[in-house]
Amino acid sequence: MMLDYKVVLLCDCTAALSDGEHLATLENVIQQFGDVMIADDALALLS
Amino acid sequence: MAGSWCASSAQAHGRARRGALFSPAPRRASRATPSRRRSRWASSRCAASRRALRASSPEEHPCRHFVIDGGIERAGGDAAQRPAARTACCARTQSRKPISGVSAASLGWAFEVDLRPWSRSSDARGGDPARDHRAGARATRAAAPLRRLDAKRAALVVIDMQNAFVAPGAPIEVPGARAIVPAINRLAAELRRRGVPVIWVLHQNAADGRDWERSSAASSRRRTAHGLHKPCLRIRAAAPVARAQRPGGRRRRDEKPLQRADSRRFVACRRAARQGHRYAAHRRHEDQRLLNAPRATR
Repeated sequence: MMLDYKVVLLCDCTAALSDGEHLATLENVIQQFGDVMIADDALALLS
Repeated sequence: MAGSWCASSAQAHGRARRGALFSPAPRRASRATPSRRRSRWASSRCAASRRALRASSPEEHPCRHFVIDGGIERAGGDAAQRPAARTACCARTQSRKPISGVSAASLGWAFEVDLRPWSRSSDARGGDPARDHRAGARATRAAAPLRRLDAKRAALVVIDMQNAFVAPGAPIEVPGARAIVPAINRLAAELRRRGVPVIWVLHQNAADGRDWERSSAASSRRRTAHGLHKPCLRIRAAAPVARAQRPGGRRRRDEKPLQRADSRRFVACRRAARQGHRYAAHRRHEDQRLLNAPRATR
């Protein structure tokens, strides 16, 4: 999204100190920086 | 909160006259009104949020684990002092609770449920990973604005998966990081098979911690509030080091400044990617063209 990169954050491949922090990060990324999906979906999109 | 505290303290000290600085009107109230919130979400580029807004009610949580009621109700008391409260329904337990504040992060604490139903850690918690995965996949497909990712232009960037964060008892340990290691390894293996470069971003610090330093007091307080009493550390030798998936490549000229910063392991990403994979000739040419281009045209 920034610099025209298509950013995908994999929510099952990231971790934080707490679930709340993790969720807040996911929401941040969704709203401003890119997409959030699970790894299997990202693999399915990859062609 | 900060606005109201400043206003009252200014009056207490008889400085209210200078008051424009102190902005006595609390801003929280306006931030919490539905119209303001709605416009912020609508202006963002988040397709999932926009879709949720179009559906108007109920609004879906980004993680598809909660459904938040569109209706806004006041939490009682002085409406100007309190943020709006809403109710949320947990998709997994079907329980419904009032949610105060507007941050989705509060939902996890309110419901005390596993917020990562599709993560590896849910296996260990006795959930049904297959069912969770199917539900997650459906939801993600419905929300994903990306139709496809081009394997020729894609890269997997793995950040901070290193002992400083992952090892038990590490200075800045994130315990949850150990649960995602198998998922990352599985993904990296599959992407390597498809010829996608896998880039591990690491930073390097002295083992005895002498190049770590205590962070600001505010950050320490935040950690303490989370129940973490370990010292909060900050990286001083700030250069992030990209290391190849296959280390041991020839060292580069760029490495010298990093060596001076006490980094011994450094392989530039582009070289690493080429060493790690047999790239098609046109791919290599494209890489070089992009990397040689001025930054503005990338």
